[in-house]
Amino acid sequence: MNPFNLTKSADMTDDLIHQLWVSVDKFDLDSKLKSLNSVFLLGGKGSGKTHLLRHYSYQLQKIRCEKNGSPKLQGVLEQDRYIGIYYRCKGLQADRFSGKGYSDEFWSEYFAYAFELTLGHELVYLLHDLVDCADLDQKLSQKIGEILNVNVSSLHELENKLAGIRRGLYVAVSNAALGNDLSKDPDAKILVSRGDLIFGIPKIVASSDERFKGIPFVYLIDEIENFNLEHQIYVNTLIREKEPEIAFKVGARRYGIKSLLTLSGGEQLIEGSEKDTLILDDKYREDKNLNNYSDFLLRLMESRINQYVENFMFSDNGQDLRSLYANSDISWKSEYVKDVVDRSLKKDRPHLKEFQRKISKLAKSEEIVELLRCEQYPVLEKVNIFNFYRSDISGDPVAIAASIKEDCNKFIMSDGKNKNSETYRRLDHYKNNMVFQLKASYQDKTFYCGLDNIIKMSEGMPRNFLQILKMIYDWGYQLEKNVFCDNGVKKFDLEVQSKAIKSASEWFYDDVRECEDRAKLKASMGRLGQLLRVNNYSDLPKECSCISFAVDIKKITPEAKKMLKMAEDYSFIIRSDSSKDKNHKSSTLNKYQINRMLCPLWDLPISSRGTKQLTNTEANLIWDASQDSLVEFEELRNKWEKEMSFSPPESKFNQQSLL
Amino acid sequence: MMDYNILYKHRFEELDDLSAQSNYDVFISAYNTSDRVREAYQAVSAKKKLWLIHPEYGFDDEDLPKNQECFVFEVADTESVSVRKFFEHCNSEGCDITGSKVCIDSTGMMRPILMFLILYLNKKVGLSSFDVIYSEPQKYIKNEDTTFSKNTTGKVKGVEGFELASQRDQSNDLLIIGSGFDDVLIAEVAEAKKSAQKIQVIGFPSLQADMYQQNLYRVSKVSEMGAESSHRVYFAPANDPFETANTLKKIVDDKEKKSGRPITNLYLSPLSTKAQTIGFALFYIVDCINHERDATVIIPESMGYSDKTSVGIDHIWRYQLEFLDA
Repeated sequence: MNPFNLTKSADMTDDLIHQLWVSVDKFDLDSKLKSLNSVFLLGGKGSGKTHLLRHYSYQLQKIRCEKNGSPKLQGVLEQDRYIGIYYRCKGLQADRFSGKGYSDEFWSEYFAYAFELTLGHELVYLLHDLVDCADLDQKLSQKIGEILNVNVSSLHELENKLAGIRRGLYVAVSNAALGNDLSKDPDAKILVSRGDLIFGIPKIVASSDERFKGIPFVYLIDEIENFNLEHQIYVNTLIREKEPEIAFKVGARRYGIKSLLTLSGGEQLIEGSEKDTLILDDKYREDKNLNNYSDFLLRLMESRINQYVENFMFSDNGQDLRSLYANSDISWKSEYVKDVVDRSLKKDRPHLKEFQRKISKLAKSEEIVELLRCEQYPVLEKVNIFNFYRSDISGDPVAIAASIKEDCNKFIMSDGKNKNSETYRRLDHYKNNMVFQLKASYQDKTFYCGLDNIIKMSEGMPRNFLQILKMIYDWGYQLEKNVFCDNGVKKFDLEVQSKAIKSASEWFYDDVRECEDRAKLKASMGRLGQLLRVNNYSDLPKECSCISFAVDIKKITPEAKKMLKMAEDYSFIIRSDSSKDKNHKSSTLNKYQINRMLCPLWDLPISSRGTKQLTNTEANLIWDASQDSLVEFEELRNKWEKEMSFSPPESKFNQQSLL
Repeated sequence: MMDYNILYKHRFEELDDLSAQSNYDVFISAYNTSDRVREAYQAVSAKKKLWLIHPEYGFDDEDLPKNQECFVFEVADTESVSVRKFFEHCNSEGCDITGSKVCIDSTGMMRPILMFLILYLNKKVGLSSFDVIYSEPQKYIKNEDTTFSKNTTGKVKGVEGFELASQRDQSNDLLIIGSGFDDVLIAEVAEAKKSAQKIQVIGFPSLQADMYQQNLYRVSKVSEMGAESSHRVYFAPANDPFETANTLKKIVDDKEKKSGRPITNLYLSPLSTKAQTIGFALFYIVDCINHERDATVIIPESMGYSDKTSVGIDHIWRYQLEFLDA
């Protein structure tokens, strides 16, 4: 079985959530999620919000108590010292309170009632499971029953009553579609007001049993992006009006919060005092060297292998996990790159042939090619060509080629340590471009491999990491290159990893079905990808290893601004901290980086170095499809291609003048 | 429990036969440019014939049929509001449907409208019996590459009037998908009910021999989209609503027997032929509403629909819906 098959927490049972849990201690999340402060836990799709919120739910608290051998009531009240009530917002549940010929205002009252009943029902179910003595069970049921005006003698009975009340309401709401007057339907009679159950039940519990005094009730409201504006405003109001021993932790996608408004005089929730915001994938990415994040993902990987693979031995430093995924050597001495070049059946190496074609008008072009040739180290050969392109060859091109050759030889003699050489500097900046270009010339697509690169590509979203591992396993299985076997461990080779990572990239790109404007968004991303590709694969890239760009958002069209925001919301691009951008002091200049998960779509490097500053026209042509500017975009792309292509100057040294 | 096979269905080989054997007070169809919709409209004999105009087809005023009565649905209106406005319009025109002999042509109708119309006629107008016709195409216009729904919003919605799922316990939730050619819709609906067990109902026998393979091809694309659409597959004839309803009943029974407990929430998603959609509506009204099952019909929202998806009429089915338990 593929140990990475399960990538979505929503698909997992409570037991699996527990078994696959990996601590996030190093990210300082625990204290925030257990505290009495309300928190908006935001993050990209697959950043781990649901797993985190479910970890703090009562269902998981209970499992942990069972595993520790402590009675659940004691474990929850004395060790955890909070009670987590998890609820996933379902669009289907909420959407029924809309349309059918009634106004949104009319429905908001019924939605509020249903939400109160739903969370109240969750809480009663939880208490029925938690409470360990019949007297308390009866006492609580009677007191809570009084709120609903129902006579019950146990929490179980109350639970059934609540289920009946909810069903009656839903039937009435469904029948409203037939034109029935909901306000006259006895099943839709509103029995409680805002907070009566959500705040009222915890109060009753605390006043009924000393052990519950001071124990926070934490409502873990997940996937609130499924609620519409009015419904979110209602939840915001509950957050504002909450009682002291109650907290809300609200999980949502990055774009999921539609409003911070409350029903309290139209005021907004105040950041810092009424709620804190925590963006999970940003938090993971803040770890610049990715040490803690890498460690977290390796343990995530380990937990799945432990669960599904027998007899796998781990070392402490994760080296054995890293060794499962072959890495590509992209150093200047790379044997792999040499092998790719040498394997080519073509007599003349394509990149040299192309170079020769470009300088064919120069005198002694063949001599230049021979001077720059470096068969032992194809990466350096490529750097030599690049150095030649970058040189002022209006003088004597042969002399320039000879000088480049000399510099290269010095570099080789110093075993790559001569930092004063031009070769060293170029290699330092443009190695990725050189290797990618070289591999592409030989149709070698093994750009992406190695566990550390996979971690980098996941961009703070653990699901991306797991999805890549899952696909690598599947591709390995299909190509009979499976590594998890009982009698020893092999490696996932470069071919398997590259194919799988390309598939994972396509999956990530397509996994935006909930985005209404996905076609426009993808068209914009396609244009951005094409331009970045032009830069990275040109003779004279304007920026090295460029997957970042900067835009003056105040000067682009509203549509372009909207699409840029959408790309950020769906994690297709990631905004960098602009204050750290030393090249661009202007406060309105926003810097973004394309999500590395998408780099394989355009064969882009995953190391980010240079940032291309887009002009306003360029940014509009990429992001504003309404400009109906396909032709103009083609012109822009051609312009970039031309600007970044080498073309020899007309001079006395060209072949024609010699004749 | 009802055996839906006792209900009558009749296959017309020729349009003339349909013409000769239909004598309705009211005939309601949804306009599009497919032969099978327009020719059936011409052939049916009825005192009053009405076209429903779905905004999803994107017709302009000049595209609409001339000298025939049309009722244009508004983009902003949901299925229940659209249907209620239509009946208000009928009443204002002096056309009382109560007690009338009614026939609906399901062929060109949007699924939520078709389902709600059937529910409304039964539960609100009070008809315990009416006919629904469905015309089988000779072929889909681009075979397995035919596009039906366009511009999906990514949102999966409950069909109004069919929203009864309410259980907090979701541990035995079941989603049954009537899987047709709309692979994107199948993926969306499967994604929306991630934690439910999923069963697909595939149309077999299919409408035409080659359509079965075409259907499987489209369904296979769902897993390529990363969505898990089924744990098991059942089959029901693509042109038989009654056998479809029986199959749904069997799936539910099998599931409850196998798990040893009732299904917590049942989700039904008819995304295949209109004949099967009628079967889903029938099963919901007779088995779910009348027996208080926690069930909801869910369909992904799409803003557009191809106005011509097929060529020719192979034959026409007439289904006599009777709500014996209603």
